[in-house]
Amino acid sequence: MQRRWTTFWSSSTPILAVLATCGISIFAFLQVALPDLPKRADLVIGNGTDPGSLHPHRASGIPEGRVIRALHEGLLLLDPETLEPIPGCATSWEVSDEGKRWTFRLQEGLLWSNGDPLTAEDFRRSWLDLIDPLQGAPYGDLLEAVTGAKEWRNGEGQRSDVGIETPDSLTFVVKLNRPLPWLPFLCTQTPLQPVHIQGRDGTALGVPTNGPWQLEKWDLRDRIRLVRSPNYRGPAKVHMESVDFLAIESGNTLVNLFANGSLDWAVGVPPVLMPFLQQNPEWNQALRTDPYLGISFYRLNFARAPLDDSEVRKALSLCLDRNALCRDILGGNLQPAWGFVPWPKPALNAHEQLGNPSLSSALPGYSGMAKTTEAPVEAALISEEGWPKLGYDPQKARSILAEAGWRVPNSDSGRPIPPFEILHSSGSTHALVAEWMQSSWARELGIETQIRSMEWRTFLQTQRSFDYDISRSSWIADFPDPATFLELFTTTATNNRTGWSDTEYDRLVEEARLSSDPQQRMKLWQSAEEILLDRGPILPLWSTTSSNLVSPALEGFFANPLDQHDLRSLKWKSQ
Amino acid sequence: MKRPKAVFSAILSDPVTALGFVWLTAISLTALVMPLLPLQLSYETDSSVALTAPSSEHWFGTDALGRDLFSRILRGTQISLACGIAGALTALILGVGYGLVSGGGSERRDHWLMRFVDLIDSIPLVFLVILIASALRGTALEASGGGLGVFFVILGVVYWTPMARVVRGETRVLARREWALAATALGVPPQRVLYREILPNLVPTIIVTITLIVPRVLLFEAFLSFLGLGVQSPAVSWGTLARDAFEVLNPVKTAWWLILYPSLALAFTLLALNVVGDQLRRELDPKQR
Amino acid sequence: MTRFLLHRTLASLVTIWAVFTLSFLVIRSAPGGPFDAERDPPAAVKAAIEARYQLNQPLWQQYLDQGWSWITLDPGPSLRQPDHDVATILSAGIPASFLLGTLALLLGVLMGMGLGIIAAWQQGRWPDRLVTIFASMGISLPLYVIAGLAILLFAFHLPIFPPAGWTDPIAVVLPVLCLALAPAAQVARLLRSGLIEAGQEDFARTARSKGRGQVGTLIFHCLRPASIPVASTLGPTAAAMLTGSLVIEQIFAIPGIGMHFIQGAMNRDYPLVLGAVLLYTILLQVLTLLGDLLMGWLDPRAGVNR
Repeated sequence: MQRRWTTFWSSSTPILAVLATCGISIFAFLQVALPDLPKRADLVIGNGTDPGSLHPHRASGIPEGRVIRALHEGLLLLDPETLEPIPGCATSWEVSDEGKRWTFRLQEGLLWSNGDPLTAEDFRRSWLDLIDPLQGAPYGDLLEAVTGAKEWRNGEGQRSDVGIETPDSLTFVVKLNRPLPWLPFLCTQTPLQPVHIQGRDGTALGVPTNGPWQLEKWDLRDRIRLVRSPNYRGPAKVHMESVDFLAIESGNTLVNLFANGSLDWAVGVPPVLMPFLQQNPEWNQALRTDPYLGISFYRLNFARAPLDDSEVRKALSLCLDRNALCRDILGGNLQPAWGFVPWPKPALNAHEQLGNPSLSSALPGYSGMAKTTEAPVEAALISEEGWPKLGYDPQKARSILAEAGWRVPNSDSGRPIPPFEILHSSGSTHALVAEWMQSSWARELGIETQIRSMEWRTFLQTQRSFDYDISRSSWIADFPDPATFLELFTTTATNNRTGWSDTEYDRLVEEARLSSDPQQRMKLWQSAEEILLDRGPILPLWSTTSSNLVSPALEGFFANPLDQHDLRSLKWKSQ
Repeated sequence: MKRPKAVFSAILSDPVTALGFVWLTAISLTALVMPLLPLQLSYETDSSVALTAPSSEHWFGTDALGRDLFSRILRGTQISLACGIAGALTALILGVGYGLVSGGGSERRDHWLMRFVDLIDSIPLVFLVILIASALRGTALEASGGGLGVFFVILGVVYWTPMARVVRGETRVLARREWALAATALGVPPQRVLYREILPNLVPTIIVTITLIVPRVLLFEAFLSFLGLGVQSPAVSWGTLARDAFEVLNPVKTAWWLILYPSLALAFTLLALNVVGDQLRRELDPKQR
Repeated sequence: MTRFLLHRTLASLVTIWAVFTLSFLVIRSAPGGPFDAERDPPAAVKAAIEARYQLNQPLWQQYLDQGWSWITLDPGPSLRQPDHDVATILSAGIPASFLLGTLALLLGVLMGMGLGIIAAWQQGRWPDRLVTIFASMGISLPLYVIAGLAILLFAFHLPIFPPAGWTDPIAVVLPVLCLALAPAAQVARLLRSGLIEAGQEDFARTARSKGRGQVGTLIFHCLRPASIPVASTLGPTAAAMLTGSLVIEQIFAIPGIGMHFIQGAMNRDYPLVLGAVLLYTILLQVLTLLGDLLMGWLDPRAGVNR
């Protein structure tokens, strides 16, 4: 035994020596090979995936928006707490001509980060480039209400016909062919930020910007560093000298880095970690979950039996207990959706009653649905004016079907309901929801369904080519108005993708768009939603919730239903 | 070569190997009788018992949706085992056959056959997987077995090449050995030399390679689950359970049971495969007769 | 030898071309396009974007253009990150990936060889069992579970290392260790069985009978033949590790190139994913050649000098 150990050590000594040498040389190599450790920025944000583009016209994602709105300053800014538009590059603005003419007065002496003067002409050029069909900006349709814009985009007009004018270098006039009450809000959003003339061909790197910060470096898939712009002359008094946006794909990594103090703000928390974090008082303080104007729903294909039958659609919806879905399958942090426009007032009120910050004030002019319902739902969730529109009532579903001549469980008469397929994009939550729907319909109506899951791009392609029966969908507000949701299902809408077409619905939406009276508009939107829910091509499931981890020492981070948190207002408590 | 009965008793004579054998038999049986067991279905969640530690009610605790982990591990056995067997079979049939044909044939044939293997191996796996999955969209294959149909196709495309390489390399070495050269010189047909003389000598290598490939298949399945491309719910595999476990790992509070039990299931199985494989190799090795 | 090298280089070029063609066809036949989104722009706008990237040209034209752009090493901008050139994106990821891969491979092979030798020498005794268990664990747990546990243990319970990041030398340790585990286990297993087999060969018996000790025989006489299977698997392993481990990159937030293989394919970022595939293929060709040369040296009978 003794001898064996001696041999063991004598034989492993050279191996250990080699290993040690390697270790030392590797460490020396690392010291040389790795980039210098950058000084920690004043504010470090875990920003999710690396931005696609920092060009306001090309960007389409949420991580992009956060960086771009720090680099640029639009005509207006959003009040971080109330979301009301406040002065940005424009000091004042007024609307005339029944809501169809907006005039903005720009602040004097504004500069681009390279020192070039910033004028109304810069805004005019940027907005026109956004509309330009040949530039291919994905959000160009936000400005289709500008006179001549739609014609130009359809190839029937030209750039000079578009109703954007600059009478002088500080006045910016927009002429609309219908009222656009959310235009001030749009002025704060990513696509409408001014673009320096050097960025006209679509480049974003090295192009001057006009925001309080400028781009110092972009280490791909690692970090984007912004530093204070010396030429910023705007109204914002910012507190952070430098800001880092770290590209972090994994939700677990975001949480780990936040725990470790490397991040001051982590965007998005994996839903499965929520219960863990909420149980811990310290973490619960940092965790912010707020209503978010987004809706998760299923599209129904109108060309496929039995979904072309409005009775079947109604029955399918009545068999889905959204309360149970949110409580049991989705982990209890989401709001069941009984209508299509998310977070109607009663839901917001219910949310506030749970001790959350008030959000109603953050949505001026926004109103979800509030109409009576025929079907019973759990009492706790009925509030103002019997808010739920769609109910949960399997008994009623069966009687609707029986009356319409379909075969229901425990009866032999009527036509059998043909089986159909549930299509979703791959993901464990989506799969669970699909299964839950499958089991609900099998239990209540005896309908057989298959589930099919697809990788994201394949899924999109399939949905667009109408190659589905019912398919998972979601929609996030472009602006806080029911229009962003209800315009989705008009006959001519690009993203309808259901084949549904209803002249009355189209008429109501068109009337609402043209109406300049806010009260009247809301009524029209409500009627439109009523039709959409009554005979439309959708099964709403839940309203979305945003989640952020924010250092408790950070001030100026407010709950808000668009999950937009302007960096201009953020500061450390000691500051 | 030894008779099966002798091999079998040799396996049972060593306690560790016997244990591994028993484990493999047990999970195979579990997979077979799984459909008959009264197990909870994936969407039967119960938020009131979410994330409870192991107890007499739930032997292995529950997951974030309140589902019994023990049931889920039992359900996962079937798919994980199916993946392992599919991988081993493609390696055995395609890989060994291809390797023998390539390594035992003429230089020219060997050259071209190996170029083809090179080509397949030169395309990154994940890239192929995503695109095969996309290309098979809408086919009956995609829907079959909770997305497993596509998965088996991928296994078939990918997992025979390592075996083909190893077998080809060994065949070439063995074919130049004196006894093989002597057999050929004595007029034994080359095919006969290949199958009667060389193949038995390859058995240890083949078994070792299989015990290396099966873990890779299981891990690959787990990797696909990590990317969200693996087995789709309601189907459960040990890979998806490991992914779920990874997702709840956090610095605040650890649901240790979620990570421990699926890991143990995976580790025990692969360990058992190794021990049994080693013993088989020892028993079947022609040089130890 | 020169002829062999020339031959192999030519064959590699053909393989690279075949992989490029195959990948091009596969990715272009995948449904969906790079500019699809839940919020789809109008058809005319999409057509304008596609025209900008010449995606409206006939497929054969695009194939030739893509091929030429890679020959001239000017692949143009990425479709998902149009602010950057594909070449810039790939080269930005190379240092991190190569550093991570080289270190992990080195560590893995060294650890594996050490353990393999110990196991073969102590065959059947407890050190052998321990090594077998380690080797099985190393290849039986998914990498993300290992990484997740390692972070929990060594970044939070014992706060030695940061949980993620790449700029600090100390941050490199955890990902390298996690990534080295699998090759170490693989090398250890292959080497152990190779050594045991070689130990029964006549030359080993001769060596022992001539007075070489057990360990001496293993290291000086058996190691070379026993390394053949190791060398034959090393090429592909090295290529896979150098082009980054997607899992490790994602969990430790390392800006390598591993993610491009999957995200490029998922986002239908045609030039980026083709670039990543080409990079992998070229690297693999080079490393396989090196592996074959190594094998020829280890076992002259399998010979490359034909």
